[in-house]
Amino acid sequence: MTSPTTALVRERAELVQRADAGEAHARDLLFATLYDELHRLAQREVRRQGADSPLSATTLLHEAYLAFGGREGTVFPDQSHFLAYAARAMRGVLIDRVRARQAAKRGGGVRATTLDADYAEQIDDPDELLALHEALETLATLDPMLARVVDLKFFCGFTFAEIAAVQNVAERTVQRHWDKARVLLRNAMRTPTH
Amino acid sequence: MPVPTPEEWRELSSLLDEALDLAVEDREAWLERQARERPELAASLRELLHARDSIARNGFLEGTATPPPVRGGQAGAVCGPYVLESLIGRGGMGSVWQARRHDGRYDAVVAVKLLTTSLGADGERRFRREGQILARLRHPHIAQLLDAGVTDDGQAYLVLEHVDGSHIDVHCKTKALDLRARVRLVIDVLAAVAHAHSNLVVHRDLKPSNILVDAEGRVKLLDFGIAKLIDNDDGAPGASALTREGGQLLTPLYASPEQVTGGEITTATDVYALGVVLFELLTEARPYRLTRDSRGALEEAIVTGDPVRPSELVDDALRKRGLRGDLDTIVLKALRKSPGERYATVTAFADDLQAWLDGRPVRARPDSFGYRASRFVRRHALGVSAAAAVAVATLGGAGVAIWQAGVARAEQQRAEEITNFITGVFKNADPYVGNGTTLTAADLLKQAYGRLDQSLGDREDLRLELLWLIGSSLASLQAFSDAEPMLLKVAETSARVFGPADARTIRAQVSIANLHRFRGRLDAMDTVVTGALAMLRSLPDPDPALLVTALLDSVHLTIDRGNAKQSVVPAREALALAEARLPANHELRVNAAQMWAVALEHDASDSQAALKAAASAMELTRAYYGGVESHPRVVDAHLILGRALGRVGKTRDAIAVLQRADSASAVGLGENNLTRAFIRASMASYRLMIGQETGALADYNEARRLFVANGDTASVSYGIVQGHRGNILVRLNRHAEALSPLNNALQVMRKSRGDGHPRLLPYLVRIAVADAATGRADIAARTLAGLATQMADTVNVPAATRIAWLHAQGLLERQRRRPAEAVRLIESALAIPVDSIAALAQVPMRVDLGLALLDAGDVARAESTLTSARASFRAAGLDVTVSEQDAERALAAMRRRRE
Repeated sequence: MTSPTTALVRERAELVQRADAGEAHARDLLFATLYDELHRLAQREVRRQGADSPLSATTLLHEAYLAFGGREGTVFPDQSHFLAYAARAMRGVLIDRVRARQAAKRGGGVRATTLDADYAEQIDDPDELLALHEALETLATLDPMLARVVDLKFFCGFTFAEIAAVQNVAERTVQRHWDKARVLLRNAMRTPTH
Repeated sequence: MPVPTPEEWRELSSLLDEALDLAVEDREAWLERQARERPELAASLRELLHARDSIARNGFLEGTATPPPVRGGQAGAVCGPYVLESLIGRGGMGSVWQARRHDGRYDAVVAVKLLTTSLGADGERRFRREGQILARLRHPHIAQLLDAGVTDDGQAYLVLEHVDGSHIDVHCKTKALDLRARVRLVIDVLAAVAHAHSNLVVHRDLKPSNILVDAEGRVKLLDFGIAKLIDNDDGAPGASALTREGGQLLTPLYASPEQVTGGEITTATDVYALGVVLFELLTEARPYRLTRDSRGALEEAIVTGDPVRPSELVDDALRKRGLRGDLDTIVLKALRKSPGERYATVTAFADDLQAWLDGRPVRARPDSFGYRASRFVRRHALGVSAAAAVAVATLGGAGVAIWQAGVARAEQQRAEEITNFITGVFKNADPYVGNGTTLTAADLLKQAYGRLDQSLGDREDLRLELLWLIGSSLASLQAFSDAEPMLLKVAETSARVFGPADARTIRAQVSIANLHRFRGRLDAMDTVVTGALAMLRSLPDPDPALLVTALLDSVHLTIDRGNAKQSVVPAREALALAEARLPANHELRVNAAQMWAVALEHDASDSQAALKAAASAMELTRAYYGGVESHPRVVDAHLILGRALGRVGKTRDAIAVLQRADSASAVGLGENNLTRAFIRASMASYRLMIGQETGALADYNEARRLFVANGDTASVSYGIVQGHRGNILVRLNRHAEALSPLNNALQVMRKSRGDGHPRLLPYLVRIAVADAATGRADIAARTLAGLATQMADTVNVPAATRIAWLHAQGLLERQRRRPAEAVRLIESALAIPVDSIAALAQVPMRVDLGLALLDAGDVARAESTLTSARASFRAAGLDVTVSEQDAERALAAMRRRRE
């Protein structure tokens, strides 16, 4: 794993600052960059260990944090910052896999790689996952904290304790955010015919 | 519900908070109230609560996301030469379809299994190749594998003989078969399995749903060897024991102990599974009685619990008689924990069952010495390092602690390489391997040891070399009792044959010193290290690597003994020597640089120098390990640097560095590795210093979880973490929650240091504070008073502890409405001199003083005390703590009263 050059690190740090300041373009670019990094890392792991290997999203994120931040770790002010963006990018990686598979089913010939881990339950229905993604995008505009918790917990597999540690809030707060997010998402994802 | 505007959302959000706290019975009333007060939101609220009910009933977003399985499979889809007709079911590894050849070659109905897991390019090759091997397995009782292939879109599929039948357990039940009939069925099953085994195919996933019985009562086994087809790793447990059924991890009802612990899968694994199946068919019950209905409980029972005797589970007198005795014995033999104690072959198993049927004596023998399941525990090969353990430095009652880092894993890797090598060398010669007996690396090493005398004749030197290799390998696998005599022998023999000054002798002694260290025998270690050092120094030209290692050992010794300040001299010498005499790329230079930084840290006289040393050690470590951030040694370097930053007050930087260490550690050693516990604990202590109380608690909670996940709830480190959790909970005024961890910590400390040790005092004080706040003021008072004698000993009891004691008494007095006493006590606590770091931790005490002064009616002093405390909080740039909030509230109240 080669470290990014100093110039690249500086560039990235600037990108983060601009994204923090609310520049939409910078945010998009940052997501895209993180996404690329995660994607690259995932591919590498899959090549090395085979698609069945228990590659966890959280491990990927740890690796990305190290790789992206350069040796001095000066791109993101801290891990919590990094995760705020990276978790969303991770969701992007997963959702794109789903989309690619759906395209393949229709005869695209694209063979998607698998990101898997020993999770307790799967979402069987890709459509539901995509609907969740849409709903989350909406939720993110309303209350980014809630969307972030869902990204971290559901898409990245972090525990409440870990999320609390990274965001420096009480575990109970994280749980509350999670409960609220679930209610909103459940509500948003109900089919109109219900 | 339409998307709310930001203002609507703010309202809705806080209302939702309320709603989520409500009990079901109160909800209607609350909703009606909202309908009256905020009619425009009421409809949305109702919808949201509906959603909540739905979640409670059906679940939503449980677990975490995974990309959905590749779902080939619709009627009419083509899979190689077959066309899918109808879905038969969802199996463990995918969906099963009834299908037919579409090229008209054969008009046979087959079953096509579409696998959900996707294989890499290698996986596909292997899948096809192994599939061909499995297809050659032909037996009347085995469902024939006809084909194994991969479609162009990467969908892996298996084509199997189509079998119409019911699961064996269902079959036995519906046909109400008697004992003998069931046993006869099982014998058929065993014949099939025996055939597969003789063709070197292990099933790995035997269970009733894989054993079908057709209308004519013929047995057919499914999915032979398929678990292995899609496994990546030969011998890894993979999907077999943890079969997914429609997305859910199944409970490992048929998993053998070795599957649960991740050991080797052999034919004996199939024997075990068949034992469970037999058990269930004979008793219609499960072999293990569980106290909790959880997967963990089941796994524990499988690995360490005793199966119930089949005859004891059956009420019917006739059945009971049939089972008691030989049949009991046969079943239990198949269920032995150790694979070597089960039936060696499935044929032997079948023979005994047939013998029972015929009324002949069986070969299985019950254990006449009272058989108890032996613990089949996987050994944790924690690597050990000569130079990477770093010691604890506590800053007493200020509640900040610096952590004992874990052990370096580099040596674990080396040990694994060595054992692999040895395993390779001896594997062919050893008659036991491959007979279904599972050997650990340590067993193998011990066998190698036994073989040494025979196979090496008079090659004393070679024998000694190997003996040292074996002994030190065993030591790094933590098989200390086995390693010790070997290493002692090497040392003694080397001294005799090569002389006491020979490098081989000294090397053996250094290994022994390490062994003593890990067994906590510091005195013995001292003797050996001193001896080795003396010997080395007496030589005209001692081996520099040995000398450096011995010196680093002595540094460890001083730190472990708590004489940290004495570590500087040997550490400096080790570093100088390493730099001067060892080649630039020698691993010991990294060790020496790290230990130097650690020694300076403990010396505590020049924290700037310590920081420089830590930074330079970091550079060196990184360079040596080629930029691999996740190498355990690099993680250690981070840990050292983090602490050094903390000591110069760059607390936020320290936290950032530790976060990197945390990520690196997760990548390098896995997310549940124990080193992360120490990293997290360090982070937590720094967070406390900048007032991030909830963040610190979350980190300590995570640290605790990691300890528990590693099976450690008794070590001193665990105790310290529990203690910190308790302390923070007290600071957050969550006194009731604090009692359990604090008592836990006390318990652990008591065990390790003994009753009456000064190290127990801070916990006793803190428990008293929690007691006082939870209505047990009398107990608290008695405890605190009882500590007076010990507290008077200013030599052995650190100032911080005494301060905490006085403070606690002050709090108690305030609670008992004796504010004047409270003031006096807290003032005397504050009067005791402390260094600047600890002074910062005392600001909350000043808040308590201010509050007590307020109670006592001295408003002026109260105000100035609280104001100055608040100023200190702000000046320190801390996040807002509970204490600061208390001060604010009191000051605001005073202001209001004036107005």
